[in-house]
Amino acid sequence: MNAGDEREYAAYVTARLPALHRAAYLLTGDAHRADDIVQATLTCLYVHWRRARAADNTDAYVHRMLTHQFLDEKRLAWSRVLLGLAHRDRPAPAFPFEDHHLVHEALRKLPKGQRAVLVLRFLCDLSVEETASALRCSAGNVKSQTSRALEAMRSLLPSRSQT
Amino acid sequence: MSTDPDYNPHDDVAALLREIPLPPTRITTEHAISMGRKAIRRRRRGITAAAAAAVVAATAGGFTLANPAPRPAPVNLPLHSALPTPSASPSPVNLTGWTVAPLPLLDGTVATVAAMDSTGRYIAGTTSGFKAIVWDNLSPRLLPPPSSTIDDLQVVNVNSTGSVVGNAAGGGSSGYAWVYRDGAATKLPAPRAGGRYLARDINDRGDILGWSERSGPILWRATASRTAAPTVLSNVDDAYALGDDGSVGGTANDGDHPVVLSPTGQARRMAELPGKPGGKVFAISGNWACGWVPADTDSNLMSARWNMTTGELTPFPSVTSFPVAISASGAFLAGRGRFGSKVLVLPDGTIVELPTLSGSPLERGTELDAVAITADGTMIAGNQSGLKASSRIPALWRRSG
Repeated sequence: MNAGDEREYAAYVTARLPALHRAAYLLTGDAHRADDIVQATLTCLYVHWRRARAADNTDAYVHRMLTHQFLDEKRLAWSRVLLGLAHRDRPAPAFPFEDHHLVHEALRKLPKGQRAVLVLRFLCDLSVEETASALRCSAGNVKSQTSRALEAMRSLLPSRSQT
Repeated sequence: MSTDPDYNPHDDVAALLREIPLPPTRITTEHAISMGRKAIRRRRRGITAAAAAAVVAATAGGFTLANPAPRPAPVNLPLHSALPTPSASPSPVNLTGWTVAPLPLLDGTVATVAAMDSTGRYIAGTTSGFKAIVWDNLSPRLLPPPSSTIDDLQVVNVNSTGSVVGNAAGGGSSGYAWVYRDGAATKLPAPRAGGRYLARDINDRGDILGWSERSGPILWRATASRTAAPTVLSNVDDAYALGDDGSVGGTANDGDHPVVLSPTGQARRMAELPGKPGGKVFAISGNWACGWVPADTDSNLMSARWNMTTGELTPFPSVTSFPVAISASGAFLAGRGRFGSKVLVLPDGTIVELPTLSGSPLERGTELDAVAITADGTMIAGNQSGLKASSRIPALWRRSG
């Protein structure tokens, strides 16, 4: 990667890192695993930066990479080994969990596929087709999983208008 | 989340997902570039990722990474293929078998029921002012707070001695578990790894199950010192339920397999559907565990119940939602009813709709949120909710006859 490409990569990662971290944390429900798959995704993105930049939708391309890291436990194990990082403590965020805690707990109870559909479609703003591509399944499957995931979340959460 | 069929969930779900607080991350742009450069150098040297990983693992060791400990091989239990006896009627039945009454409230309070003990004596919940409330034989009283500075408080469960567990935030703390016992509410000791930690369940002997963002599932044993850090449950990946004998229900690898830890801590994989592995255990009572297993595709689910002695699995294909509580006879509560309401699923698979407080049929905008059932299956605690906060009414259903 030349210096210009690396500057572009750095700008993209700086801008997108919070969103990728959020998506990874909601997918995994675990701070360490989220860091693992974000790091593995960004490493892969660095290697394939020109291809990602040339994609019609770079964000969708990167979210697909992130999702594959999440769904592929073998790659996850590989990325963990590469991550020989010392953990740096930072101030913890505020934790008002009237809704947040319930939502996160509900998300954690979903199967991986349903959770991934919710995160990709509603947090990452991927289309049904882009979500299907990321999850390596059909658009119909994405629709049915979305419906079931929303139904499950409804059963686990009180109506927001009621709280 | 709205139950209106015309409602577009996108903005609401996105807002909920964006509001979840994030833990700190160790990833930075600089580190991403550094790791990317190393990856390219490895590729140029023709070293495969797998080989590089093996060398690093063999020579470095001691990384501060999640779940490094080896796990004992789980034991597969015999699989039961029989489906539950279908209900005599294709639609929910038995509206007449139960009565319901509102729980009494203290003046000026709005409360939400979160839990009930296995006998039905204690019901616990949270008031609109972030206070814990307990009904003892239907008589309500507020509990003292675990700290003088509370930004948020939540009740999670109550046991048959009246001990209550919950979670709170405030006073600079990013979220901690607390317990009310012996007349006082106190913060539970933090896990050794630190970070945010939560309570999830308490059993009748006083063990408390929890979860820590840095350690995963944790257990405060009743027999341990009350100032001792919780034990990390290293042989299960997540845990949601605690039996009165100390059994723990949970999952291996985030839903890949349903798992129950024996009271001595041995991991036992629960039976799974042939050709469709996966599942989680959410609740335990007596000899029964309940949770979900995959349904018609890998990611869709249905309620499931396991006999913890024989390992027998009973799937409930007509209940495509999560069970939330189970009785000692194997009856469980699940979100199967109209407009998102919970129903009671009897051991033979019969689905029982609970009555509303008014006695009239359930209407859109009204939800029966049953959260707990007694061990003998004769009482159910929960809430009837309407569209306004003031219409949320804590309620107790009783089996009549």
